Parts: sequence; structure tokens; C-alpha cells
Amino acid sequence: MSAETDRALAPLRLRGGRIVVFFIWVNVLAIVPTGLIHNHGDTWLVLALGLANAALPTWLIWRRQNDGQSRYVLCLALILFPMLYVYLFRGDPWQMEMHMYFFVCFSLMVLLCDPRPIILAAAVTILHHVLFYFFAPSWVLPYTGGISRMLFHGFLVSCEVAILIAVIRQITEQTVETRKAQDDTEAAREQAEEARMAAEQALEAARVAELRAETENRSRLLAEAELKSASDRRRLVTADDIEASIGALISDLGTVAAHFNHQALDITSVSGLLADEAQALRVASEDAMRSITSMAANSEQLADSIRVVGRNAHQAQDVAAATASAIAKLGPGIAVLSQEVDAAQSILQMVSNIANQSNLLALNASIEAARSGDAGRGFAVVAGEMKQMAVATSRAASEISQKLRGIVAAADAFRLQLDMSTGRVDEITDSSSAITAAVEEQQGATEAIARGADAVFAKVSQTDSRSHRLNEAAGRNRAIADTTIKLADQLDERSRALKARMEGLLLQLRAA
Amino acid sequence: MSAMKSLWTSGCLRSFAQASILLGTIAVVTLMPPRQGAILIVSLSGQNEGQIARWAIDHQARLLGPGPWKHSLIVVGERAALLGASVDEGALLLPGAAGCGKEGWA
Repeated sequence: MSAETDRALAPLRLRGGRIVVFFIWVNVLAIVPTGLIHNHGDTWLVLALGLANAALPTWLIWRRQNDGQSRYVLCLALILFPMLYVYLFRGDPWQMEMHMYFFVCFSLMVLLCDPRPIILAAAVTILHHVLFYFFAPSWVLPYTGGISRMLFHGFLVSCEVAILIAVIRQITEQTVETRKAQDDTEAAREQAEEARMAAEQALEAARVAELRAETENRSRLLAEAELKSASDRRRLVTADDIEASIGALISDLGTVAAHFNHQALDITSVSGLLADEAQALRVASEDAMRSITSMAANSEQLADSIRVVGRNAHQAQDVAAATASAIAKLGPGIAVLSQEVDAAQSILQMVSNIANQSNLLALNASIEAARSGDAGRGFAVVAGEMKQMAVATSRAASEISQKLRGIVAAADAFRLQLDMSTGRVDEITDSSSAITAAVEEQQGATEAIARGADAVFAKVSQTDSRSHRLNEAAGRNRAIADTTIKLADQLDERSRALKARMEGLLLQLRAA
Repeated sequence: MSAMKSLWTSGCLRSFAQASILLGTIAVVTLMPPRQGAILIVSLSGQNEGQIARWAIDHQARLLGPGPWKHSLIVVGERAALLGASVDEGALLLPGAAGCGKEGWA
């Protein structure tokens, strides 16, 4: 059950709860006379039970408690009284008829508009009968029929409960719809009331505004009359003032426009010159960049050539050093050769001496052989041969000596040439060293040239970009100058129009 | 205490209290023997029907018949007269007539 339904049914339930409590107290009050009429021995006990049963529902309704649990309490209290009256009618032939009182109480629970307590009360009624049927069947149904009659009673109670639930549902739906309609009507009434009040306020405000407007209108007419006379006087004075002040202003405006025009033309011509210069500077900087690029390439080639020359000079220096070393080693060899030749000359002299002595010996032998006659003939032959051999040996020694002298002379000449070569090689070494130093200096100079070319290239690049910006600035200057010329023309035109209009207005003002 | 208060506020305790009253009333009206009339005596101490009949007659009761269970007897007498003896003899007094009808156990 939604909160909206609860809210709609709340007044109905509270009113029903009050009726139920009233009904409970009617039952409580009827206990004593009923007990006395039937001369029941436990009348006061039943009265005490009835009072205990009525206490909590009464307190809840007095506190205006109307929630679901309170409705359970009301229904449980209500269903107890048929039991009490059945008990009071015990032994009376009408006791069975008192059982119909249960249905009366069930029907009364419809006033609470809640099916759940009715279901609970019916369940309690049926359950306690079923329990007693199994525990003590003769207490519940003393007559014949047994379980089938019990089930039939349960069926009837269930039908009663179902009908009551259907009635409650219809009441609930109708109540909710009615409440909704009431809410809508109330909302519409409140809106209408607010609209009526707003209309009344607007009407009152309109009346006040109308009165105020009439008053202000009268005041305005009076003020207008006074104003008109004053304004007529003032108009002529104002016209003179306007002519004096605005005329001078218009004249100044024309002068300013003309001045602007001249200035803008000057700016345009200067901008053109500036753009041309910037363009020329750009062309020059591009040429310079190309030249510097070419120079950088050439300096790179020059550096390569210098590096090759340096390497060659180094190699020549190395070769000269190796040659000097070799020549230095040749000197001692020549000296040793001269000593060996001198030794050979000594030996050759000894050979020559031996040959002379052999010749002399052969001569003596020939002489002795001649003295010996025939016996010495063979010896004379040997002596002759020996003489010839000594002469040949002497002649060979002489030739060898000549050859050795030639060798000595050649060795001397060779030593002289070596000395001269050593001096030239030293000169070559010195020249190579000088070349190497010069090459290193040239490499340094070439690198400095390359760095200078890079720096010049960077500067020329900056110059090129600045010439770009200068050209753009000149373009913007020219555009501004063009705009200024247009504005000056417009200003001149407007000042002329203003002058004409002011003259017309002054004529009208003076004529008014 | 606060739990009790919240239980009361929620309404469950109210319904429980009223249900207890209802169940107590059902028990009373169902199990209370009549002031005078048919009374069912059920011995809880194991007395047989003869022993029950003996002390019941001693207290001005008339025998009406056997009870529905073993060790039970239905008599006609006064509740007040039999109540003291039943306590002494360890017996239970129940209504002899039906709660919802006329005839009861007899």
C-alpha cells in the first residue's frame, strides 16, 4: 500500500478506529447485564478480561495512533468479544447464535480499511477452532459432522473475509480517487485564489499607476509650458553657441583630416621606399649567402689540399731523415774501405819486393847455372822460368797497385759527394720542416676562414630574416597608411556633411 | 530500555501484547471449569477413575461418566468444592461441557 493511499485513507481509518473502540466499550458495558441475566458465575472475571482487552486499543486511539500495528491491535481486541459472549452464553440454547457475532465484528473491521488485520483475526478464529478440534473435538463441535463441518465453517469465514477485502479495496480506490480529486480541486482553488489575489493586486496597482499618471501628466503639461518659453529663449542662444563651437570643431576636423591625408601619403611613400630597400637588402643578403657558401666550399677544398701538402712534406722530411741516416752510415764504410786499400797496398808492396827478390834470385841462379855448364842447363831453364814468373808477378803487383789507387781516388770522390749530399739532405729536412710549419699555419688560417664564413653566414641569415620582417612591416605600414587615408577621406566627408547638416539645423532652430 | 522503546514505537510490541491478551482470554474461557455443572477431572498423579471418583464424591460431586482420556472422569459438582481437593490430589479441573456447544463430554 503506497504512502499516497495511506495518506488518503488516514482520516477514514481514524474515524473507523474510534467507532471500533466505541463498539468495544459497548461490549464491555454489556458484559455485566448479560452475565447477570444468564446468572453466569464468572461474570466479573469476564468483565476483567474485557477491560484488559479494551485498554490498549483505547489508549492507541486516544493518542491518535493509526498505523498498521494499531489496526492489528484493534482487530485482535474486537474479535475477542464474540468469544467472551459465547463463554457467557455457555449452557444457553442461544449460545450457537452468538457465534454469528463473529461475522458482525468482521464486518465492523471494514471501517479500518485494511484487509490485513481482518485476515489475521479470521486466521486466529479458524486456527483456535482447528487446534481445539484436534485436541478436544467435543469442545468445538459437540454435534455430529466432525471435520467436514469444521471445514465448512472455515470456508464460510474465508468467504466473509474475501468479500470484506473486496469491499475494502473498492472503498480504498474510491477514497484515493476522491482524495486525489480533492487535492486537485484544492490545488486548482489555491491557484485560482492566488490568481485572484494577483489580479486584485494588479488592478490596485493599475489604479494607483493611473492616478499617478494623471498627476504626472498635469505636472508635465505645466512643466512643458514653462519649458517651452524657456527653451525658446535658450534655443537662439544655444544655436549661436553651437554654431560657434561646432563650427570651429568641424573646421578643425577638416584640417585634421587633410593633415592625416598628407601624413598617410608620406607614410605610404616611405613604406614603399622601405619595402624597396628591404627587397634590395634581401637580394644582397641572398647573394652574400651564396658567395659565403661558395667560399666555405673553396676553403674546405683548400684545407684538403693543405692537408695533402702537409702529409707529403711530412713524408719528404721522413725520407730526408732516412737518407741522412743512410749517408751517415756510408761515411764509416768508406773510411774502412780506404784503410783496407792501404793495407792491400802494403801487402802489394811486399809482393813486389818478393818478386824483385825472386828475379834477383833467378838471375843469380842463371849465373850459377852458366857456371855449371851442361849440368846446370836444366837449372838454367828453371831459373829462367822463375825470372819470368818474378817479372810477371811484379807487373801484376804494379797493375793491382794502380787499380787500388784508382779505388782510393774513387772512394775519396765518393766521400766528397757524400759530404755534399749530407749538406743537401739537411737542407731538404729544414725545408720540409718549414713546409710543415707553414702548412699547419695555413690549416689554422683555413679553419679561421671557415669559422668566419659560418659567422658571416649566420649574420647574413639574420639580415635576410630581418629584411623579411622589414618588408612585412613596410607592407603593414602601407596598409595602415591606406586605411588612414580612407579614414581621413571619410572624416573629411563627414565633417562636410556635418557642417551642412549643422547649418540646416541652425536655420531650423532659429526659425522655430 | 531503548530497544524496548523502539520496539514499542515500531508497533510490534503493541500487537504482541494484544495477542497475548487474546490468547490468555481464549485459554481462560476454554479451559475454565464452570462454577457449577459438568466438570472434567484429569488426574496428573496417575490415579485411576475409582480413586478420582472417591474423593470427588467426598466433595459432593455426582458421577456423570468416564472422561475422554485415561485417568479422567466427568462429574457434576461445584468448582469451589472440588478445587481444593484437586490441588491436594494432583488433578486438573476442566469444563465438562463444550465451549461452543451444549452437550460437551457427557
